[in-house]
Amino acid sequence: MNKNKIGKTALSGIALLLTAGAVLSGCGGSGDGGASPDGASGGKSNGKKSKVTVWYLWGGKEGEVIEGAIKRFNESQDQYTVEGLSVPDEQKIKVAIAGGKGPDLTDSFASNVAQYAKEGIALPLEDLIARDKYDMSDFVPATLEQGKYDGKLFALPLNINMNAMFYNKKLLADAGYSEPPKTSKELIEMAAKLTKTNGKGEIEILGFPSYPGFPFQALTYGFGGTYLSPDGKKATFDQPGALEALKAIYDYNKQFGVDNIKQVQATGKWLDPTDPFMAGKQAIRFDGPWLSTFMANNNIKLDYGLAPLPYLDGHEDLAGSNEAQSSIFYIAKNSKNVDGAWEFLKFMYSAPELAKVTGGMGNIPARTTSMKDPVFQTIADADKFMEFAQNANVKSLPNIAQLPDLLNKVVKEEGEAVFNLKKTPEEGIAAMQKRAQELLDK
Amino acid sequence: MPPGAGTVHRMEDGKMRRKANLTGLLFSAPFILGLLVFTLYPTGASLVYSFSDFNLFKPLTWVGLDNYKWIFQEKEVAKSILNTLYMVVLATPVSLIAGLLTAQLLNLKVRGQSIFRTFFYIPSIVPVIASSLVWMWVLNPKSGLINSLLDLVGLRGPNWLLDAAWTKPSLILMTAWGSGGVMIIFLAALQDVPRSLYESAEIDGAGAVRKFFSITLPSISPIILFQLVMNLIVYFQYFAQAFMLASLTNSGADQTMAGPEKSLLFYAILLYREAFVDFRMGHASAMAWVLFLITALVTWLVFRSSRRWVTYGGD
Repeated sequence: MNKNKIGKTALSGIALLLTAGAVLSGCGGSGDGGASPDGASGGKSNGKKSKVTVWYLWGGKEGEVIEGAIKRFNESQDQYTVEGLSVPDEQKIKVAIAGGKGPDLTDSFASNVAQYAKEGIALPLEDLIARDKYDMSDFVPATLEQGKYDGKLFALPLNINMNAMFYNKKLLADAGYSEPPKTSKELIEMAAKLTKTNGKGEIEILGFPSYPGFPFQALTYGFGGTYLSPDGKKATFDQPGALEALKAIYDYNKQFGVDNIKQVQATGKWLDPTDPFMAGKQAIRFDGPWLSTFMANNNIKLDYGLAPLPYLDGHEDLAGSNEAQSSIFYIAKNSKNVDGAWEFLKFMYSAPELAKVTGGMGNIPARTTSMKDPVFQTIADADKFMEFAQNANVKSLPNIAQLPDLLNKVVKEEGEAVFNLKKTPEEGIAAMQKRAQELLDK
Repeated sequence: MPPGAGTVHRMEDGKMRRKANLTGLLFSAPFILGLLVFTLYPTGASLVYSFSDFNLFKPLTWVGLDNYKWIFQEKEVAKSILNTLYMVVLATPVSLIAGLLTAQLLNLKVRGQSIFRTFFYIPSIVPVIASSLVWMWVLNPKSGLINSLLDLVGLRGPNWLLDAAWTKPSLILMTAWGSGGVMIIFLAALQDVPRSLYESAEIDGAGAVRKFFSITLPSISPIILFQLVMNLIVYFQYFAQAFMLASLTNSGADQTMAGPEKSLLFYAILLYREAFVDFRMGHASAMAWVLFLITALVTWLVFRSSRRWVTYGGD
């Protein structure tokens, strides 16, 4: 009786499905295509605004700061409409760009610039800069280097991310110190005395900066050492800074037990009230301006001081040594609205806007004119970090394509072996030097 | 019998059959299209990529067998294969045995049976991300549940997730906890074992152990085979939990996704990293094909051996 009816219903159902599919995919196509024709011409067409998509890795409060800049840009002119989206997953952004459905402008870290430039993800900015005679003279030089690959600028640095030494004044006083360590020797001696253990050997107070992670990089650069020569052609692990850093870690771990230190690392969560520094259980901590901002914003009352990283004992000329890293913004090479992305980039990087954006995130801006903005007087420790950032001994890692492999494989593997006492510091350094040079020569 | 069932058998004439075929094809069209577009095309493309250098952004260049050679030379691949085999060899039996034992217990006629069944099944419907986060807390070396309990009896628990020797045992623990999916299939199988077999064995004086090995196991052996094959495949492709544990550290995201001393670097994680972090699609595709061949080979071996231990009774 109802066979035919079923058949018909089924057929129409399937037909409907197929049509829906076609419509949906068609929609997707035209929707995306719609933005491009205006975009390509720079959006100068008769009063209609062309769309610029900006994706950013930040979320929450920091994401709102970027949205604020987007809003002010959209209100400031009638040529472009910027649409912002928080995409806190770098892989996703890269895959989206690869698929041609990505943003026009997005952010990343300087350590990725070489890879993005080499693989054709990021657009070189030279032509745009030359065309508009864009003035970059007030960028902190070390940060500008962070946007370059092979001598060409592919990204603009947003901020200066740097570690400094936070110390818990009460814990230092309890151990009989009124001043933080200034040299590597003082750091090593004080760390041992500041550490308190219970009867089972478990660490109650961590005296060494081995939280949140393995502090090799900060110690090396603080001691005035480097991983690579400025041109990125030579490995420089065999200089004193790196060896002293690894020795300090090895000796501390040997004295207090790798298991006990790992227990501290696993117990507290970084930038969370369980963080051992904020809980008053870490005496010396290397971290960035975000730690100050977090404590100020979350009303965490801790009597702490802030000082430059200790320098290599006997080398006062190396005082203030440090490593600076930057977050960067880059235009996707396949952007359909390069002009729009560039206009927004210039707007966001103008001195007052950059101060608002970086200040809102508790970061130090990459431009010295932005640093003078009054907003930074209200941000916890901003004055100190700005002072540390302008020290002539601040260096940064050169952008070379091998950087991810160097950091994630060579340094991580060998460093971990020394941290776990499976290799001596001397063996670790020799292996890093050899493997890094092989990587660079490839 | 539902009213429409009889009509199918009477549908003999050709016209009707053609129409039925057409209807069938139309019904399966979405699936067939999906198979072509989302399965066969990518599979074919990955075979091409596996012989080329391709990063999604630049046109691909042909490199012959280089990607396959890389697989056999790269130390990280070797490490990831060892880690993966560890899971395949240990987690598969743990998950099958845990699943079968729980199913056996839940098959007992006790008060509140359905409540127990629900409790044991719940872990398998918790999303992997959520359960991994819970486990990160349970395994916290100082304040976590397990180490707190060990502390009560005066034992110091290990640094589960930061000590290379304990990361994989942690995962196996999570596996046993989440074996509800395996359990529920075993439970269904256990209920299909004819009561009469147990009754006659009881008359002959067989105890619980004897009944389990001589009646239960042979009766559900086809289901064991099925679960074995499925679980082997799952552990060869082991990814989600390890990915969570390795990339969500206390100090933020870890791009290497490998865990302490690379103890959580599984084959599928390395493959993912090659593909979507480092954009070496050639390496990733070649790895995928090698994994496919290994899985196919192991599955074939299991099927071959099954002739000796699987009984298809009942007729």
